[in-house]
Amino acid sequence: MEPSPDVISQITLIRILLGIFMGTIARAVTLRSDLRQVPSYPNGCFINLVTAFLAASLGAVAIPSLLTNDYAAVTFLMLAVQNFRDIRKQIQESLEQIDPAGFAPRGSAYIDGIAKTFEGRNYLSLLTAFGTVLSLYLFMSENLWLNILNAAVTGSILICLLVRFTKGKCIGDICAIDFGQIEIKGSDLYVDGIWVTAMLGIAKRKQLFQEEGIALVATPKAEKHRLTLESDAQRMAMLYDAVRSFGAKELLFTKRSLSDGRVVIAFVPIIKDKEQILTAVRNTPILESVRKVSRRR
Amino acid sequence: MEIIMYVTDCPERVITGNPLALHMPNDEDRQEFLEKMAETFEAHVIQLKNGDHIVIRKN
Repeated sequence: MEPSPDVISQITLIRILLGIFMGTIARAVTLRSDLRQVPSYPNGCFINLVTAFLAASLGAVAIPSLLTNDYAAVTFLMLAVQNFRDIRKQIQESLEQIDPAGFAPRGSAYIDGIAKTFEGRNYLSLLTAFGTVLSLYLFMSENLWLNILNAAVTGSILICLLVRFTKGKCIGDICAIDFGQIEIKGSDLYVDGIWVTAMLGIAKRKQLFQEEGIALVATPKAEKHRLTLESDAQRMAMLYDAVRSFGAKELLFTKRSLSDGRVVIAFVPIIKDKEQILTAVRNTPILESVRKVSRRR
Repeated sequence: MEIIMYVTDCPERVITGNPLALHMPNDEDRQEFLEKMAETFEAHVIQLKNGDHIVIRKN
């Protein structure tokens, strides 16, 4: 019996499924609930995987649709773009709503960066699936195993390239971060000689900070990095990343030294794991909105 | 930033009612009082060089 023209062939179905699989894998490998705790586990991760699956499905069916003269596939891609933008807005709103509930606020610039990353990861899934299926059609093999091998190689290369392209820098790349010496004079807190705050007017708080406080000092590696490091949004992000995973007993401060551009982050953590706190601050992403890119002409 | 109250050990410095200015000469009582105020209002306490305290709250 001849197959109906309305039913897709087995090899087309395999190519589409391989594209969807590689697109979803692309999201899965970039889905890490690290120190930033975003996306949350399990529901946040699940939502992201399902969205990636849908994005990969759209990317995977685009080539077969175009080959059958069905140009509506392009319209679907436009719809996908609109949908991803909506997801970004939704994430932004959701994070802004819960922002005051934490130990320290993330700040709007950090939230914007997270939302953009989430949107970008959907495109990552879509493009990986699209590229994988395109490669399978260019290769035009009917052999199942060769198709699987092709999809695995092409998909992996695309994932590596796109992840590398979209990966931002960390604070640790532009400055040296180390522990600072805490000194309390009256109600004033100094870290490595930098005045931080005068809010330690109660004896109990002074004692708490003296015994359990942690202070980190970030020194920019070059003068131009001061523009990024000293911005309010970036300092807020560093403080947020430090206290998000280790907690804070009410007292948390950031201060910059205007003379040499050093930035101080001082707080009393609930979990006192100094090395991990240092790592968390070093791994704070450089926010896209405050990043300064210098180009030589 | 809002000043919630001013606490001093010198009655001559109690010159205003807004923010509330209190005369508390006993240091122990004052520390206890300030701790309670800071916790209740989620505020910070600054000690001036003359020994007086200001309770402030970030908006």
